[in-house]
Amino acid sequence: MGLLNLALGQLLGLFLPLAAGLVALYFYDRSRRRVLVSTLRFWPRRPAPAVRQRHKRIQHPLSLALQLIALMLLLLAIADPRPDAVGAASQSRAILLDTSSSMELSDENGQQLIDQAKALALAYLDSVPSRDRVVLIGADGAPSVRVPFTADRRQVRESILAAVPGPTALDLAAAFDLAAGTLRLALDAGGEALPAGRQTGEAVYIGPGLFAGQPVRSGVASSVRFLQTGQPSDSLGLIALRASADPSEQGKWNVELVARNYENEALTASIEFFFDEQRLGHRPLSIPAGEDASLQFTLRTGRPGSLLARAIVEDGNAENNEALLEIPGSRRTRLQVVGASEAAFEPLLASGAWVDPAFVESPDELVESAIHVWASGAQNAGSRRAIYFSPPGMDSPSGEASAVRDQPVGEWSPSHPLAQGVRDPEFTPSRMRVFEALAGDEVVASTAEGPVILARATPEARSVTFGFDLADDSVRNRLAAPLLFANAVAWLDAGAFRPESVEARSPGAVAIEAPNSSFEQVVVRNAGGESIPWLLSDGVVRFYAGQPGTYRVATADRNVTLHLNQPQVPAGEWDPDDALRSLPPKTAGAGEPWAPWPWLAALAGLILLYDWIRFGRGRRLSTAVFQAAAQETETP
Amino acid sequence: MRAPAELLGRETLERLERLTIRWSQSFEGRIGGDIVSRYPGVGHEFLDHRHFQPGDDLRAVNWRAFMRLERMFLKLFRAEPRIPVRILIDTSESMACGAPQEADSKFAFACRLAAALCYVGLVRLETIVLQPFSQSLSESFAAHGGRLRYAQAARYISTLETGGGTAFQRPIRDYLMKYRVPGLTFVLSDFLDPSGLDLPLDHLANEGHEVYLLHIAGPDDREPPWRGELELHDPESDEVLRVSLNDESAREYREAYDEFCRSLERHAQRSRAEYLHISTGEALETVLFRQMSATSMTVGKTFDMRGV
Repeated sequence: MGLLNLALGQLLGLFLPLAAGLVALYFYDRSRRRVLVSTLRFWPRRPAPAVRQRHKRIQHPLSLALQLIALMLLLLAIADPRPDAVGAASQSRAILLDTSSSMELSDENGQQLIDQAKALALAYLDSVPSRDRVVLIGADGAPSVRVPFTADRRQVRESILAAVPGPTALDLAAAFDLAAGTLRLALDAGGEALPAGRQTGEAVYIGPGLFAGQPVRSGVASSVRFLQTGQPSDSLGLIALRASADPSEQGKWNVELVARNYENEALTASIEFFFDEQRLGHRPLSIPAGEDASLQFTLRTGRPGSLLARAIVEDGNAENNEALLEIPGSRRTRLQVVGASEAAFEPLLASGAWVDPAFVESPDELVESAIHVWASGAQNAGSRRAIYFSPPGMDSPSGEASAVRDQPVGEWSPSHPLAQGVRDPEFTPSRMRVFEALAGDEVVASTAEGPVILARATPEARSVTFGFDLADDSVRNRLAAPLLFANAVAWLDAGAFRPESVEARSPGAVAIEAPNSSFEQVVVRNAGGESIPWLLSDGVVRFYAGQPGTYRVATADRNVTLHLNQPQVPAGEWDPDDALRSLPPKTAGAGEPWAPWPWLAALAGLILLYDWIRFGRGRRLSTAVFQAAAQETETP
Repeated sequence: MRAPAELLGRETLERLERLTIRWSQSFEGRIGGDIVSRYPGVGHEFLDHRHFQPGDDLRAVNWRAFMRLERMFLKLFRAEPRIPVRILIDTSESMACGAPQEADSKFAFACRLAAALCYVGLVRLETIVLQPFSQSLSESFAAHGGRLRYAQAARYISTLETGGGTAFQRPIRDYLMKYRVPGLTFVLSDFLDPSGLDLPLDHLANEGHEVYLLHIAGPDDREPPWRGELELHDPESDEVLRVSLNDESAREYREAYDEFCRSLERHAQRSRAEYLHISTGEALETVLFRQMSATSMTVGKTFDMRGV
């Protein structure tokens, strides 16, 4: 007989004070009570024994004994005794049930791997002694404890039956580390010495053994068991499909497809491509045995749409034979030019195909989302993002000092993004205004007389003010002019010239190359626009996507849209030498343990009820009920 | 302990209007009552003839007999006297005991019963006297003139309080001195007078009073609910008795109490008084409409509270 919740000392430590209190209450209840009566003339006058003697004598020993027995039974019910724990030490067992994406596949017989794993887990649960405590761990890309250590087999059984495959590949090393940690915690019991006879536990992995990430280290538990399911019947899988916008041409996408051959021999598969359900064509792809191969092609489209790649192959896993990519539409920065002709701005606008210019006569036609370009002499009305060319004094956002002529712009601020790439010492506009830099102004370029290009950035607005007209005949055909204009547009619209790429891959740990990015320049958001945790180290942005979906990453160099919907593929197969490979032999007391605590509690309740009826107020109650019934019968 | 503030509800009062108080003895009291007497007097029912005496009322002479016999006879009629109804209410300390709740005490029940009898009498235009007592008579309250006086009587009853011990000798002597005209006397008490009730009851009967002993007992008076070691306290005498109460001693107590009730009833019969044992566990209307009416039926309608 073993006690699950209390040690014998704890049980006695609870029982003895409670029993002492019960006996004290018993004597208190039997002490003399003062009662007010109408008269004393009818009471029998016998010599009453001394009160002290009465207190020392138990008047109803059976009642006291029944109450003490009921108390002991209730405490035993709380202690949860297990009769099958006679003379044996319990063992801790960690069940690692594979719930990775591979478990959704079927084996050669068409049986799903997760069903096989569940059947093996239940069989293992039935074969271990009921006194053993079991922890259930869901093993996938992020292993987690599904059921903490318990001897309640029903709870573990229900959790096993409710397990479903996740989207991530198995991180078997992390799963075994978690199992080792839980086993150690269970056995250490908070740093106390291990009870004699206890073993260090067993870790049982149930699944096909296909894992990604690090290999399993040895010695995680004193006993490791591997209950292997069937292997998935899969010959080819599309691992990734990515498309990146070509900066040289608007609407041109460089597409790359990566596929893996799971067979032991080389294969050639035909890959079909569709864009918005219209078949684009097909390409053959030869892949060596067990390796990856890729193919590239160019896609030209100006409109957004879905690019679907489908491998024409028959295997047990149809899900990884397809990859879907959402190609976004061309992104162009909208410009509105006030007070200038299209011909004058043509050299400047030729700086990139990403700009969508519009020439307006009146400031009333301006929209807030566009970048406003105020030509020389135009009366500006204030903008959130604006470029000013030689603004009139009264409308100048910066303080104007003086006007100069034929002065070369000799000093450029090399650290400012507006001046990047500009190396023209002979850049000499015919007329210029020299500004006085105010608080918040950054000097981009200046002459000997003073600053001629200023940039100002506040949380609400950004503006670039030129002291000359960039569309003026004296400078517009120089190489620095369109470059300066492009830098100004890029500075005002951060994503205007950033290369765009989209990629379809599997969820889990994601790494994006961002060699030139700083911490402030990186943004990672999910499809709902919520920021998710990420890490920037060694020029790589890393984050964990536990669920399939669309994620957007912005770095200093590019925007990446990730469609993490592809099933994650394992990198290796676990084949341990020292692991047990079969179910343990069924021992006596295995299966659902018999818990006598409800019976003990019910018996205690019955004893208390009998005591109440026989010795307590229930007796008077029953007498009153009988008398009332008799009186009712006598009344005509 | 004070009398309850709320004595009788409106519905109870409406039901009480169907009752009347009756008595068996004949009284010579003043005219105007409901019950006929064996004494001659002013009335409507013919009783007898007698010879005319000088000074008799000539209107009562039987002139037909005079014409035939040439002798004057006087017609006598049965009197319908108005009998005073007096209610003696025991306000001793023992009346506050006998029930776990104060509202169920003997005193509270006696106050409600007195109020009910008062209302029944007032409805029939009787004269009602409420006379509280313990070791002596307290200040009384007399009401007559119909149901409109009930509110004053109820207010008076609500001011009563328990106090003192139970003693019948002196209060009955004072009562007979105070009320020399005999009438109907209700005694509402637990009759726990250690000196006994025999002599006072004989005095009442000898003075021509028609007496009704309403013995009010609480549920704990006959069946003590306690068991084990008890320290019993008598509030009237301040005596303390330590007993060990078990089923056996409880049975002995019950037998002694029942013998007390039987002796009280026997003595009431000897003194031509009516006795009724009333438990406060009963509803007041049950006592009024069943027990008191049934008692009058079994003893020859001496006390009739049936609906009229």
